[in-house]
Amino acid sequence: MVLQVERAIVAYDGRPVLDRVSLSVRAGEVVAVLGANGSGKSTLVKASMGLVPLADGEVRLFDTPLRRFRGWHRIGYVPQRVGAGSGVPATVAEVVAEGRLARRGFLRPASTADRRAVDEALSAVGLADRSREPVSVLSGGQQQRVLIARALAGGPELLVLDEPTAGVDAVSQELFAGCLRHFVGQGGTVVFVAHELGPLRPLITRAIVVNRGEIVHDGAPPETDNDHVHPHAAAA
Amino acid sequence: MNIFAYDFMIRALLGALVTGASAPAIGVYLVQRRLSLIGDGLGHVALTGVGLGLLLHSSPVLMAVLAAAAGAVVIELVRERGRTSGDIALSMLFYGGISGGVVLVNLSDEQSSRSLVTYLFGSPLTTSRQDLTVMLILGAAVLAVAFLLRPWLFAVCHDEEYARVSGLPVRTLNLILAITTAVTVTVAMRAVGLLLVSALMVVPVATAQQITRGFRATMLAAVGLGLLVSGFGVWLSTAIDTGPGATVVLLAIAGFFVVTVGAAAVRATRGARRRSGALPAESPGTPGAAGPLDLAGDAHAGA
Repeated sequence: MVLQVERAIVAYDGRPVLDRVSLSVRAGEVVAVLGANGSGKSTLVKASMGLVPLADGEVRLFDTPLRRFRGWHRIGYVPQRVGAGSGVPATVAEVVAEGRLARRGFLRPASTADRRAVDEALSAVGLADRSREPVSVLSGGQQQRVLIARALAGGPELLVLDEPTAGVDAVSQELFAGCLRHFVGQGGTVVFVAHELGPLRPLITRAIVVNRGEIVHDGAPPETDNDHVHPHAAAA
Repeated sequence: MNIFAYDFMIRALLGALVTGASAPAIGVYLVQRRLSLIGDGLGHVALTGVGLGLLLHSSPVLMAVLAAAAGAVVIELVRERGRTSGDIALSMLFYGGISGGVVLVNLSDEQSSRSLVTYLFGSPLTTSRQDLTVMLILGAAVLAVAFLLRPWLFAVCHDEEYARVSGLPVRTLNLILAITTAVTVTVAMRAVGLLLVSALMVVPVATAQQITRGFRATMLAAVGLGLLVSGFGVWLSTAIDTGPGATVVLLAIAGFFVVTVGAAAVRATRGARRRSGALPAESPGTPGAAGPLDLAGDAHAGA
């Protein structure tokens, strides 16, 4: 099992966000986690990565309890994008190089393999020619592709993406779908949080719908974006 | 006039250069994390260490390192918890630190306010041979951490969540950064003083990032600028008989404005040429891409 969540409870300031949620993901699956804003879908993914503490329950990654898990290079994580333009400029290549740190020994200089992996990841997302530019001049969709390249650069087995298509232009969405198809074709496993499926729909093997901190659907992907999945968010 | 014929001038200059290189080298991480004014707070806390050192007749520099490091660890723990009450806790720490320092110095044998001013605003010309040795060792340690740990510290400061999922020792790296900042404050105490140290951590970085495209380039340019303004500032302060620390900081700020205006002029010229079709259009920027001038506002909000 690649990812297992068992009876997980997460609470923010005493308010339950996830209520005894259980979920298992096998190798090769492409799982979409759907739900309205505030349903707990992002929290589910963050808790799976150990970014949010569990009040109760357990998370296992690659059959290892989270607190003993050390194989982080097997995971490629794409956080929700929150304006990549931070205080100090960073080039596209510098950000993508972060993706190699899980594999690179501490205090070791970057190897040829590290640099090649960064170049390949950038080619995969169609940004090979932008590597020396500051991330802040890229469009929102391009910045999202930088974060995906960063996750791919480490050569992961499991890709975990939090709202990878939110506010992303059509070209970037198509490119992203192509990247995922390639990744899955090589035996990779994908779990991603989304508001709407768009061009990703044909790739999905399974959909999970979260509502008020509970999983209310686990199985075939919904037919359209406008059905029971997130009635209130359809307009968005 | 060759003012560098005197040993004390050479020591002052070397001390200023060590500060000029190490403060921006660590400051670039603080600016990245939007904690620009943390150095200022640690300077306040370090004064209590100075006071303790004078009172107990032990080394004020050593005690300042210890006090600032302890303060840095407390700040990091407050930041990690992300509490809204953290703001108040930091205020207590900073103002308690500076008041404690003043009272302790008053209680010590060196109760004169002259020695207080020395620590608050620096006095590079009184750098002793021993002071300089300590500064060189601590400065080398700061530079080693800032340059050798760059990929890891950058990852933690740029995207802490991602660093966690990469399995990096995030808390250890944060504490290393906090303690190194404390050491930098103490290194700079002699050259620019505890009240002005933060300026050398922030202003060269703010200046450099207007013309650089990447993190590494910003770091190197900021260190270059830091060396330039501190070296030239010490020379100028002797020539026109002004406070060295304040002169260095004013030069750094002047540099910031010159570069800001220059960069804006270059952008405007390029914009005009692009509109007339001479240059290809740039890709669209994003609202999230903070202009360098946003820095000052964020710095005050963030500290």
